[in-house]
Amino acid sequence: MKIEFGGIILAARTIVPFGPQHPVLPEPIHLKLELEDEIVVGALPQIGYVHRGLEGLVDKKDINQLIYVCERVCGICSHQHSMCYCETIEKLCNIEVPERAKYLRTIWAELHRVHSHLLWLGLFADAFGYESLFMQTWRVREKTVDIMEKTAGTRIIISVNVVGGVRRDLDDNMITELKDYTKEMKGVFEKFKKAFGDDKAIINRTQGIGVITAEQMIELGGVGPTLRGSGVKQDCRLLPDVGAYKNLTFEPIVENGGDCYARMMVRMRETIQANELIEEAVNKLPAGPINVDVKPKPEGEQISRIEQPRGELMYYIRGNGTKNLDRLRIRTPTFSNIPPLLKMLPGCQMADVPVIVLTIDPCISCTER
Amino acid sequence: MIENIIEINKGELLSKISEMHVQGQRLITLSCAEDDDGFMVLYHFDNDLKMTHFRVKIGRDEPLESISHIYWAALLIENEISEHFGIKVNNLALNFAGTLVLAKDSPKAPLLKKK
Amino acid sequence: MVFGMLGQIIKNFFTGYATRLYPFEQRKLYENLRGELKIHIDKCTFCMVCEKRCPADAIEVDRKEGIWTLNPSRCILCNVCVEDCKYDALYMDNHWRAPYTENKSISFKGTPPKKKGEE
Repeated sequence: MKIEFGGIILAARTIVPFGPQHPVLPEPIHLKLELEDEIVVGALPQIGYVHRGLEGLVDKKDINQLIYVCERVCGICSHQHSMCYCETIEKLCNIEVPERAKYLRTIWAELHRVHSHLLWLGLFADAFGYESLFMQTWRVREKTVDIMEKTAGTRIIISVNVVGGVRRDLDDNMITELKDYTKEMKGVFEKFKKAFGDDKAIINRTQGIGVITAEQMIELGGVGPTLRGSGVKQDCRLLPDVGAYKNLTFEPIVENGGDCYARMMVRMRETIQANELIEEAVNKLPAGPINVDVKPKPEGEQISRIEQPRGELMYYIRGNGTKNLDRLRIRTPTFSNIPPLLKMLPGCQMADVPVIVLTIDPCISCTER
Repeated sequence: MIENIIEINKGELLSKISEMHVQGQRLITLSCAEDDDGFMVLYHFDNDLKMTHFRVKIGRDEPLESISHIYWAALLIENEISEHFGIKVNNLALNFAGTLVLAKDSPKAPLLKKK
Repeated sequence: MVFGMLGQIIKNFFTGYATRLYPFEQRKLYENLRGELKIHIDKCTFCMVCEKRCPADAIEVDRKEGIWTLNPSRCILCNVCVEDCKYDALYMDNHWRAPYTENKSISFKGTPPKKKGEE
């Protein structure tokens, strides 16, 4: 499409489709990019390729069976979904969870954060062509997934949460293995921080790309590491009733650049911090029971929030006193990060589009449920 | 129960949301549920980890006013509410017209219990 | 930069393999792995609790004839039936099921419970 004025061509615009199949995307999303001679001037999103309608299963499954539905909303960050669901029902029915169960949930939640960030770092290195770093990152991720298999029984979707606590316990062998794992990973993660942070090629491809300010992020509703990369200190792990975080030393990690390099360094430093949180939680693990025996019949409405690897997750539940719920509403972090993405894209070149789309950590199966 | 819920009418919705915008609060999301005589829509806001909620009730065939001219990010969730429950939303900044999460041959308004 | 790479190349001559030589050397299976659902049919009393609690509708129990049926491709290996069975009849094996070409259900026959008033 050409824009002409008095016989002179001012600019030529084309529309290029990005996705839904693209080597760099883990899940399908479609963007219509409007280009003016290699610079992007606008973008229009289109989602809906993996919509399963999971919120409509409240009539058919009862409260305990819905835990397994909620876990399968996402394949990467699944433990935090079932943890948030169980915490909402426990808040609504005034159930007191034992201390050991809170610590165990926190340990598995931080292991999930490590595995999710390592997956993202590998995909990000692949986005600008650094394939050997992609392979090394996923090789280290296999050790994390092996620890989850030893302690919980399966690799990623671990099914350990139940209303009132957890179903599995850690015995002495598993605690020794966890301590060995955290000690080994300290050195490995420091090497990764140098490989990602000090490499001149990565700095050239990520600094100054996709800049967004703190005021724009709050107005558009961004969450998670995308928000913390622009200088806003907000993390749901500071809330007093989430897991066992109030007993551990925890400070949110903030960077001030607002560009892709700052967001990458937030996630890299969060991986190192998660490793330290696991070590501290294993050392402070109290003795006691792991669950309470309850038959919940919730009535009324309740909201609770938790920090997933990608941002803030919110569950809204309404019950009517029977064994089926009335309404379940899930708000996932990528759903809130799509408007900031559409604001970051104008002004960049076309070869930077995969890097910017990956920097919000898109998890589209969470978005569409 | 949830703390800090404020019940408002349909008519004062836009003025209350503009006040929240001036104070710099972040919109978390909207939630919609079906009642016996209509629908109930909740608006959730956050300011430094403290939440505030507004509740609006509308009848079964009444339209809902969109807030996407104040908060641009609300248009995605308002499109999804209109597709899931069949509610008509006025003055959307960008209208996907039934193609955001549903397809052409999907069942209409799948989460509606009483048709 | 060249000296760093040269040191790494010389070190690689003297260290062993970075990967496992499969199939001569296999990783051992962990004990807690949830691989496949199995049943001791002589301990089963056909109380039907496992059918009610299953989130994926994978178990069918016929109380009159005494037949317990599992659809393995619906089972999500969540372990709820194993924990809720009061008679310890169900257990999880730690070997993965072999690949299959047809979607068949597996049935086991046991002795059904006697009705009240029957001798």
